Amino acid sequence: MFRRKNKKSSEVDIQLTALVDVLTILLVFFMVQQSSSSENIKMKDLIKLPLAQNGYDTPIKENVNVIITDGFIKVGDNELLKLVEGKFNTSQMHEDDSEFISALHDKITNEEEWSEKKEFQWVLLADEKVPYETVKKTIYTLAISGFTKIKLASTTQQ
Amino acid sequence: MFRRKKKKSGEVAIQLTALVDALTILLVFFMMSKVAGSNIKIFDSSVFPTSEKQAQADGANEAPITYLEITDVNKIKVTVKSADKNVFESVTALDQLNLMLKNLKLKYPLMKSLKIESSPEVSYKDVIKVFDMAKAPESVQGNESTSPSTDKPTLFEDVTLEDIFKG
Repeated sequence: MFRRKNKKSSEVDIQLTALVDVLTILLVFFMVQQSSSSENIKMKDLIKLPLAQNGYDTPIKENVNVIITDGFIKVGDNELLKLVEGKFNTSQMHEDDSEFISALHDKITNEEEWSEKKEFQWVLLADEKVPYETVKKTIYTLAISGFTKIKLASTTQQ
Repeated sequence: MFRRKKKKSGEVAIQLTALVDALTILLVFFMMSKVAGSNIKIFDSSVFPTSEKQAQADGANEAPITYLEITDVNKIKVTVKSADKNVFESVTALDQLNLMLKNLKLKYPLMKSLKIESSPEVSYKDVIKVFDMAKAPESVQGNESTSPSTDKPTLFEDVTLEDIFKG
């Protein structure tokens, strides 16, 4: 009788260890996923994306996020340009082409961090109040610079 | 000696249970934050302009194409072209556009392409609203395009920002 009880206690110990292992693996999995979506959480404080229900999910990898707010444009974690009320100033534009943002072109084509990502999806995360003109000029400049896989971001809830 | 060993084993079991509890709480936290952080959706748009002939060819040979000119939320010019001729022209507001697009799709079931031009002052929010309407699921039979989010046919398969290269 004593032996059987001892055996049962040992079984419980073994099952708990296995459970800890499984939980740890799941926890690591979710922590890795969380770190890849941490950009989304940081971005929530910066902008209010427009609402839409019929878009599709963003792939987690091979994305470059371009965040456009009233005050700046960020590519990844780097703030590249300042905006005034969501608009570019003339010094940032090309002399002969008022649609082309020279300052943005120079930064994304000269720095290896971005120039090597022409095959990536460039996701525009623009604040809902940003004028279309700003988004249009950004798309135009990215496309001319060779970054043609451009996507427009929205959110299903705010 | 036996007693001490037994006590130690009991302590380990208690610690393991506490560890399981802690891990479970952390796991639930990360699962919930994952759900909360996954609400971003994207829309696809070809950025390079298409000539009308190419657009017609892309639109399954002579299939009509809808063109939208968004001046502001109350003034959207809707034109449907088929074989280089305007077969429909109207002006509507953004909140009426959804119904108009659905009716047009019923009238021209082969139509797959929607091309958008917007004035500079229109907000990004309103352009996305138009994308959302165009990518809404619809119930026309025989249409192969599907909404990525619902796997149902969408109103328009191709939605293009036509004015990117027009200056």
